[in-house]
Amino acid sequence: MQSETPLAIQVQGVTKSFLGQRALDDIHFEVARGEVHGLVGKNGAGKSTFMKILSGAQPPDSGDIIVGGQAFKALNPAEGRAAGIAIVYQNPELHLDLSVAANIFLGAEPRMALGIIDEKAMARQASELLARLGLNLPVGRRLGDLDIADRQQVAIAKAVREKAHVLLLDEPTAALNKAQAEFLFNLIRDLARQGMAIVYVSHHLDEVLAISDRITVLRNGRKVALVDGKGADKEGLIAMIVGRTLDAVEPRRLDKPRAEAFLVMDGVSSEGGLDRVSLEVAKGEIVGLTGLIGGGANALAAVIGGLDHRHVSGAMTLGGRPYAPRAVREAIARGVLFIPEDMRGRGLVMSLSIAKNISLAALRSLSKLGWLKLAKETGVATAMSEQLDLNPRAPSREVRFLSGGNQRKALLGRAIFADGQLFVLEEPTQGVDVESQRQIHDHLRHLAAKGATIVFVSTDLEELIALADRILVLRGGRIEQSLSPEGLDPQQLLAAIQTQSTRSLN
Amino acid sequence: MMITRRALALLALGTALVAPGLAQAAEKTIAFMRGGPDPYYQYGMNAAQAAADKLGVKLITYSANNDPTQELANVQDAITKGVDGILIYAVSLSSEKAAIAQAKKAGVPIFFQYGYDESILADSAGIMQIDLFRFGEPVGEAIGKLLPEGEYATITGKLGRGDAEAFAQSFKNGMAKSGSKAVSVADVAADWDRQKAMDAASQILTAHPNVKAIYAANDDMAVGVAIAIDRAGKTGEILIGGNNGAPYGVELIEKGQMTLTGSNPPSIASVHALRLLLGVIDGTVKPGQFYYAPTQVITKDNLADAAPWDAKPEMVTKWLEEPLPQGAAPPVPPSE
Amino acid sequence: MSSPAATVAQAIRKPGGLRTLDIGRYTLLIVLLLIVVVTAIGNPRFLSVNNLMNILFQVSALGIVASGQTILLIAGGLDLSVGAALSVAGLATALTIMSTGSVTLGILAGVAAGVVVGTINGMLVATNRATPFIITLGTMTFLQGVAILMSGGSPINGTGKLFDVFGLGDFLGVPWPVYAMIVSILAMFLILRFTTLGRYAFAIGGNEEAARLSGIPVRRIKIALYALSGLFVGAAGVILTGILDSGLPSMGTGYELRAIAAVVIGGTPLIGGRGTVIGTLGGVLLLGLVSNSMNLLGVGANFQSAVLGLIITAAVLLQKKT
Repeated sequence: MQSETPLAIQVQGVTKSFLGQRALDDIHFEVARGEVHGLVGKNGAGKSTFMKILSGAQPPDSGDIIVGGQAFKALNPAEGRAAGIAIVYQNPELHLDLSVAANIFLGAEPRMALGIIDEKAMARQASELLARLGLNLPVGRRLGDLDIADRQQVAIAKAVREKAHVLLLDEPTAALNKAQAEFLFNLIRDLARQGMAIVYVSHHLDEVLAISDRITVLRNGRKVALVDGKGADKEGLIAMIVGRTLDAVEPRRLDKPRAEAFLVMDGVSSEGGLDRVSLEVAKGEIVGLTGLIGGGANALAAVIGGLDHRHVSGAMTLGGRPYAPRAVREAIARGVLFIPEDMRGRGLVMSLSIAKNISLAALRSLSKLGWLKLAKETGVATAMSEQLDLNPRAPSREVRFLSGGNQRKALLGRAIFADGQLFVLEEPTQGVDVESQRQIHDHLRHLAAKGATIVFVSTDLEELIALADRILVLRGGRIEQSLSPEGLDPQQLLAAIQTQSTRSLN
Repeated sequence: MMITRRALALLALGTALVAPGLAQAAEKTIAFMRGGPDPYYQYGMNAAQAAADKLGVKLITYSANNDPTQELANVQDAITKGVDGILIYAVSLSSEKAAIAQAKKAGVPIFFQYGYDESILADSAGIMQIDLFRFGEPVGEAIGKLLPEGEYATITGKLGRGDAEAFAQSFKNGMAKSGSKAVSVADVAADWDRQKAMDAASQILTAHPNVKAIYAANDDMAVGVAIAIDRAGKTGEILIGGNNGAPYGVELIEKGQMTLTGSNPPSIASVHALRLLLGVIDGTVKPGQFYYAPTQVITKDNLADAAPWDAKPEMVTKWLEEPLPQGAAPPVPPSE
Repeated sequence: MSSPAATVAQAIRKPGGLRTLDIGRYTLLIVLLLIVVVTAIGNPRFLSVNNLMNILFQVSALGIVASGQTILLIAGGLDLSVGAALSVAGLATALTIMSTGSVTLGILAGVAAGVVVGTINGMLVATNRATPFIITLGTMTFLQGVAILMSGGSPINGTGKLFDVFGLGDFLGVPWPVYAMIVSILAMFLILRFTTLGRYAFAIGGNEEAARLSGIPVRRIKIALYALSGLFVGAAGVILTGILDSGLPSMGTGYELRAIAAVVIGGTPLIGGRGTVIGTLGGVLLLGLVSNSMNLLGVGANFQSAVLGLIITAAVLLQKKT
């Protein structure tokens, strides 16, 4: 059995620096057995460093970690596991080609004579364990055939099998839908009731508030608050996270789009899944696209952005002139800028500087006969950094050293500098902290106020309501509903997204 | 981790550079350059080394790895190092002009083995080589006598230097000269390589089951051919004519798996070339002359008397006492 | 604001990203100096002006080919066919001089051959049907065959004035091929730093999809880059033909691997996205120095290849990781 202390894990005065900069400064932290402890902060506040130290992936410079009554100066991952600490990432590190049971028992498989794995016993024990956790997963299935939510459950089951008594969950709901998230919360509560200590890291403050017994707030590497989960509210939490007051509910834009239509689509179908979509977007309007995965929101964005141009039928006009881009660069030439959700994979060039990323889509305006005007480029990038509150203001710094929020801003800067008239964005604030999210929304509103048109795809209900002038719900490649966000609450929007099509199939 | 790896790498680097650099110069220094890692050059180098030891001459060895640019660099470096003469198995004689110009400017005699270019003869210390245009001819004549009619095939070396082409052609000329009515059904280039020759021979045997003789332009390829014939179960049914007289070829002849080979041992050639170069340096041999390298057709019957590639020290001693080869008129292509 | 912490948090994700950068930048220089010192102690003639010129002369064609290869690697590409293309360009030069007697036409033919081969490679690579490695492996083999067909198997001798200039000639004591190499490196430096083409190469190598979404005509740029590299290869072919006073089907043997080795030793990663041509010059000098050093120290022929391999491996291991 574990020691009798009610504290499952205790951290005393942990400090960690990188290149002389404090990433964590004298952190004291404790989680009791059976407690769900929320950990919140902006991108770069020190959450991920702290999680790495807790799981043993990185040693602290100083301070102690006390687990199960034993003090460690630094844990390595093996010691962490042995001491009963398990970490589950949003995309769990599991073996996709092994079965569910094999993943749960990896490294501790029940054996028969001659060391042969006893598959039957393993499947049986795995079923028992999953049943005990209230999980209904096919133990024999290849893990790669399951979705992210199921994989997370397998990772948690594995932690339970390893007799972990501290479970670190890093952004567990980032890739889950509402129902899957609800299921996960119930599982977490169950585990806590059985005495497990849980550290829950998330940007979604509503979730953290709903599930946590206590919440620790980190800012700039310091612990700024430890609050009781029941007594806390979102507004207070946001204030502590950003260090100043932000409204809990994001204010909507005050100005209204102009009347003139800018983008007109008439009966547009595409190989990507659009089915005779007709749509008018006014100049200066912000349109939010949403729906279930595969519903057509992303397909619509791809057609407008010029990414999907094979077998596109129907007619489009932009600013009154016919619009039929056959390549992204043709869309850009018309002022249509597509900003992808996957900024690392598809957006930014990580090996290049901030300035070079900002200028990338409009080098022609910075060059003469193929020769670059480097001084002008630096000037433009500096001005853009200023305009977008990009941090740090060091245009020559490689973008890979920026936080997620600042990387998204740099990407937006590229589109603005390319003289964008119509911005097509996918999940414009995915994975960024509250403050950066507000800033990016403000920039988009500001662009719209100056006459730019914005079409964005999002699955973030609050974002859709706060940012859009009009929300379009797509299903089966068609625009199913057009909602005004005025007075709309997230529950209603979710219901609209989830509703089965009311149209008959013919 | 990082530090250890770095230290190890530096240590390796230091050792690699310092260790071989400790040698001191002897009285007379000759640079021996070979075209590449071919055993032919290696045996020539070994014999030259043995001869140099007996003569009290220091030999420094270089390899061009079959790259003409590297060869030129080697010549420049040898001149910088201050050698008294250069003995070179050239990758391609025709590309040596810059090297010769430099050697001439520095007053370093440069003697070529293998390949002949009349434009460089006058500026060289001498050129020694076989009669390229007729190297395969005696082999062809000997095979032709054994095969009055039927089908035969040729497998030659890497095309591009001129020799591979000439060997195959001269073999055919020899066949014709012998009065044989046999016809060539396949001509393949196998890059002097045993494995490639083996594959090529297998394909020839499949495509032309009636082939009764195969010529391989070197013995390495002849070994490949013998293996292919053995695997096809036709050992003894097909004549194999090789060229060069390499140890493994001679061994096959001894075992009866190969018919004959036209030998040009690099050992005796290199020993004589070294003596000629030293003679040029001492002023006892006239520079700019052409010499024929010794050749001989080896069959099972004359095995014992033939000069081997891998020369024993006593043979080298014997060769050193032989009279020096005399200058001769360079070979000319057979008139069509 | 969160800037220091945010920056640091990002830096953590790339362990060693900042720390080894500065040391790594100088390791190549240190290795070069080490070789110079050791060789100079072993043989004082090493430091003679004549020998230093020899080294530059010996690496000149390699330096030109490697300059062109640098921008390909930066763009995430690779061209294994440069050695065979060098032979083809050299043969085109020698054959043209032989048949027309005009050195000018010979130079044009060699350079044009390089550009044509490069353009074809670029068009094949731009189809994205296979990796550049496989595609150029194919063209390499093809071009080796073309070289043999062009030469009829024999060397094409005699280049007249081309040999007088590149094989024998110098200006202010510096051989002409060395000037050609310096011009190539300078040109590539300017292209990489100051032109849109250079910038596009970095962008495509760093993130091809991001480049496409930024409106960069990725296919066209790739073709242009391979053609540009082909131009360098063609120029190297002309110069090497002059140096050797002949066109040989084997004259480009091994150039592809040495050029790629020089670029990688110079700090350009095979995955692209970053790199410098100055680093490539360092890699080229390392290869030339090692060979010259071993010859001057009297390292036997049978040891040289192993020592060279050891030093290349050491130089790459000592490089910074990015």
